[in-house]
Amino acid sequence: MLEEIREKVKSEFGLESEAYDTNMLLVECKKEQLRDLMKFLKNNGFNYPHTVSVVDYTPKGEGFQVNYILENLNDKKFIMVRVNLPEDNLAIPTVSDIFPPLQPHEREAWEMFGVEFIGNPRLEVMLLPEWAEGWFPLRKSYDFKKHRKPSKEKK
Amino acid sequence: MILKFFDWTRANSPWGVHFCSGCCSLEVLALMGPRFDWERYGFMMTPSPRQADFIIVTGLVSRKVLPVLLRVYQQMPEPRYVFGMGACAGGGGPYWDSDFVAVDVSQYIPFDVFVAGCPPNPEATLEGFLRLKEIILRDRENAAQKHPNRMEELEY
Amino acid sequence: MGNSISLAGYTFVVEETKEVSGEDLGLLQEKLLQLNWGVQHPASGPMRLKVWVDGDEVVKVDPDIGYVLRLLEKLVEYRTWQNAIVNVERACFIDNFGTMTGYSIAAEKIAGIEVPKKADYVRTILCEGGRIVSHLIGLGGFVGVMGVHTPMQWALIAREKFLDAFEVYSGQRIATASIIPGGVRYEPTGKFIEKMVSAVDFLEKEFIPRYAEVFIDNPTLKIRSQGIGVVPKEKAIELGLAGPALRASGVASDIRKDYPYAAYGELDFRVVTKEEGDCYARYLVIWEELIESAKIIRQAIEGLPEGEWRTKFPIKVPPGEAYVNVEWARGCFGFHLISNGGTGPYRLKMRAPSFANLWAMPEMMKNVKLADVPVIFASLYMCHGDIDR
Repeated sequence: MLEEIREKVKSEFGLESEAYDTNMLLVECKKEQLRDLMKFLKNNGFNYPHTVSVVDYTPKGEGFQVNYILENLNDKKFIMVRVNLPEDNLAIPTVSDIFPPLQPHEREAWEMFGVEFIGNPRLEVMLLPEWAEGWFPLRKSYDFKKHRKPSKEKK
Repeated sequence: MILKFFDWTRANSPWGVHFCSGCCSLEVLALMGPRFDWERYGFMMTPSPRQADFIIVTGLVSRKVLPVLLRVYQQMPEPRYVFGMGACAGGGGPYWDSDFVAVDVSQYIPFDVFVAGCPPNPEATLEGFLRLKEIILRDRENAAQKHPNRMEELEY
Repeated sequence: MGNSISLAGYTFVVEETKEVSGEDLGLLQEKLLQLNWGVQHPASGPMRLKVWVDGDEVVKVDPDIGYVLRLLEKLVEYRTWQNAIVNVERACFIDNFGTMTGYSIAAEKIAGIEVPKKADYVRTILCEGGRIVSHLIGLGGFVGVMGVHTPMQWALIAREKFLDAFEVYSGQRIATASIIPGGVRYEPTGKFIEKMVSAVDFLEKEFIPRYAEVFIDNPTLKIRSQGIGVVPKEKAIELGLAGPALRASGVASDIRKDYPYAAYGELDFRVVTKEEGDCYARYLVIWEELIESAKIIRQAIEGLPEGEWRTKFPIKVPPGEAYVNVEWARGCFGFHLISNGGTGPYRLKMRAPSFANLWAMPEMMKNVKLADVPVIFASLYMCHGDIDR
């Protein structure tokens, strides 16, 4: 079943895909093609979204990477869609109207990393307190050790 | 003389506030069960802070819940006692280097008893509660009268 | 329609009712009353729920979370591969064997290591023990929210026997840190197996018959929970529900059968599904999963092989990544783990099933009465530690 999806994605969008695991396929695409690819995957059986996972590769100089993970409940397969973003332009169109359960996951990715999802109806702080908006704590440039207050006795 | 009588009644049936904000609250639930029964010593939980004698700080206090904890503590009538449970109340526990956990809660409210463990055994917690009973019986000047209430100095 | 009812000399006047939706809701917010099902409450846990009420009907519900935030995903980057278990297992405290298993399997996939067979079987026994312990609290909590506190006390008796077995195995009742990358940490001795068998015996012979007699077919329970919070099958996939809530709507999705890990490929059990999708169906799914787990533990104990229980795990792991799913008590927990060639993880992303269930809840709570809000909340079976990791 994974072979069919591989052929279809190649013929429709011209994208190469590789095997990530025994049950999982990895597709890399650009952010302009993202919404069409998501609609195509939803019509082909991948209709249960798992999560949105963002990785920060700035120490290596490669920018940020946004991963979308979807599951096909009937055939028991996974697919991961990967978009690479440069460090100075962190904007990407949202998929929360195609997959409504991904809207709070995108909100969490915004408040932890600073990746802006254009079109998401509710981009405000959810897990962090209100005075911590704009801190973006999960980035590699935010170091827990630097913020240790000097008045504490224990290190 | 009559104050000693009130101390005796307060020590034999202390009521605590329901404020389960951390992982150690599962061991408090085990204390309410039939095996380690704490009602034979007179302890009970009440939902309203206006009727309570003590508050259990069950371990983890994140920085978002700290103003809520202080407001509940201010609503309790005196004399009131604070019971710190677990390694997190003592000095951060397994999250000691996280920026969003209030590591040293005893800067804000004065503590009476600490019980160590992650989470502590129900038998150890029960021993801590019996120590709290002795503190209630022993003298009228408890820790709350020694340290002033420092909620106004709360800084982020 | 306005009408007046006179009953034995009294006169009641009923006001007109009006349908409100869409933009009108903004104008009406001054007339609605906002209640806080708050942070300090016996039944809600550390979470706030803003409930807008018009009389007795609920109009809108909005959750406010983040009160248990510790940023576990960042703390893991400061630890080594083995030490990270201490932080990963405290994602949720009620069943913490599933999280340890998922992280260990992901780390072993990147490093390319195979665990011995005995470790797989012991992991299965511990994971099912954790599932039973967590479902017992779920049962007691659901009935306790309606005001009856007896099932919780009965469930705590059965739970203590399992915690005794965990204490014999590793020295701690709840946070054991016993499943690590490379196998299991301690040797499963004869005394541990004995305690486990006696705990499962107590569950099957004493707890299950007595509980089934009183609290399963209870008419009062059925009146309060049947027909409330109904979710049909297509809507469940569209909303993104997970775990027992998804299986109670008719979708047969269970990671133990679909993508087998540990020793589940060799054991024989069935996946529990129901058709109706209301609160009572979710309660029955938890009950029947409890009975199935007891059978799995007996099969695993009989088939326990001989051999080693732990292999060596390297200090530095080569670069790579993996995504692993585990069937935890509350649903399908996902771990996306990335390694950079260092002594610790580079990035760990945890996908929590309670997070998905929580944000599907405002859709389910439209046009219900105020007294149904705790019942729907307790039937979705959420744990606050993994919503806010």
